[in-house]
Amino acid sequence: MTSFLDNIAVIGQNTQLALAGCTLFGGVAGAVGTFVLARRRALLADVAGHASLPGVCVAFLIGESLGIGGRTPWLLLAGAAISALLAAWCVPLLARLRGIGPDGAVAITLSFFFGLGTVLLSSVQSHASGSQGGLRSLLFGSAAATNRGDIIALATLAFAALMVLIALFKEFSALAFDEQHAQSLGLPVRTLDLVLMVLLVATVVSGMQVAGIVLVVALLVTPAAAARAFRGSIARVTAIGAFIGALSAAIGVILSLRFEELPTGSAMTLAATAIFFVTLLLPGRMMRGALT
Amino acid sequence: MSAAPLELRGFSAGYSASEMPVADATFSLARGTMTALVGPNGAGKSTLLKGILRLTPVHDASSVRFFGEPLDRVRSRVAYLPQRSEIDWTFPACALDVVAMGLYRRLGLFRRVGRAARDEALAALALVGLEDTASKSIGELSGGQRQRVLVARALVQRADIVLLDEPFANVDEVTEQAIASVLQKLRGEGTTILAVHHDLGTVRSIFEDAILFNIRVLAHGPSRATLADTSVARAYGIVLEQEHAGRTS
Repeated sequence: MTSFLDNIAVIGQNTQLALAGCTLFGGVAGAVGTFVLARRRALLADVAGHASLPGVCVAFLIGESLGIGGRTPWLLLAGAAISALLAAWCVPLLARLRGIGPDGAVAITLSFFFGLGTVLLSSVQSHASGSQGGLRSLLFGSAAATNRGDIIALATLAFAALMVLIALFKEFSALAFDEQHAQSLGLPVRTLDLVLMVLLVATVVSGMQVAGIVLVVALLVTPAAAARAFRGSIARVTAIGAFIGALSAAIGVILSLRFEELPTGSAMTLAATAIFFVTLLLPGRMMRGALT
Repeated sequence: MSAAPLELRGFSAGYSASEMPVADATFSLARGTMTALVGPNGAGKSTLLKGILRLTPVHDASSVRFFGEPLDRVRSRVAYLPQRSEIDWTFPACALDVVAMGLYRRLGLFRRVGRAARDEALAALALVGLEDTASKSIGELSGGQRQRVLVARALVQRADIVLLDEPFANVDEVTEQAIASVLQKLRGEGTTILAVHHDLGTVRSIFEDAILFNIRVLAHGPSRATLADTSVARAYGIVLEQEHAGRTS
């Protein structure tokens, strides 16, 4: 353990910034995840992750052609957000077609956007800066491949998402617990649902470079699922989800820096899942006949 | 004279495949009355309540008036209690969180639940006999306790009319008595109450008025007279005939 910490101290300021940024992202993902789970949007988070790939690639190509550089952090985040939102919009549309259903719509959308993204990725990698600058590690995430600008961009986006979550915490709670009652109170449930969707996409996109577009869903779902083992108020359970998310992200970054071949997203996912398994041992977790 | 707390004129709703239809309902409720909405399964009672509150599409929104006004102008005076079974009780919240939700409209967007709101929610929990369960997770509560939490959430809204969907369904005796006495107390304070109710045995003892409903209003008046045998048979008979036809076809 000491050697890990020594390692970080030696690596220096940029790594500490990456660790701080990733931890913030993990915390926000764990908190947003509470509502993503409650609104049954876990698979949509997976769609958003995979569907950000074509957006990132197009943004990269635009940046290159404009001469501002393909690796411009804000451009990549914007591209990712646009294609993830587009995919999230496609899912309910497809689900309405006869004989497809929500799961079919998720599968069609996710595979199409991801397939398109991998095709575009091969074009991106023909650019020198695309292959060297970390886009290659986009699938499973890499904290080491990020630069200062990436981390500042991801942390800013995650922080903005956190502020929105705090501002609308009670409205999201009412929506997630009892939509009809929320509607009867006159709360704008459709708008709130839309804002929650944007929040989900913002969180996914902020974490895509470090957690990887394939695995970023794990940070939104697994810590929040682990937090369900704890009881108490909405605020308490959400805070526990945030803590587990932050812890998983931090462990993931530290491990991936220690073992260079280990992708950051994979390490984060395994850390979150390990914590999830530990919470299964907590008393009361197996309520409601989970194993019967 | 002030306008009726709730007035329906030729109200129709229920257009999706999953909903029972409501056709041409006309009735009005006076201030400080307690009315049971009685009818067989599939009579459209829940659709009626949801339609009145615009939670489901209605044919003509102007056919519903609360205190002589459209719903949007008097929302803070109207409280709704959905069926307990339609709510996600695995949601990570404590009883106090749920009761405080009744205050969200009054608190306004972006505002947090402060001490005054918490105290108000605690007082409502005490009224339904659950002061000790404020910090308990809703997942740990019994069915009856959950129902009382929902009633407490409706109480904190301090509404002038409360619409309840099956508040007495599958609850224990303690809960039934607690809810009945809270509703009667509200009525005494001038609140108007309309509740979907299934148990014909307790309608007369809890509710002074009843609406007999099966897709349309069949009878409306004092519960004892309204639930006279012939009219009940008429409401429930339709279902029996349909079931019989379904079995033989």
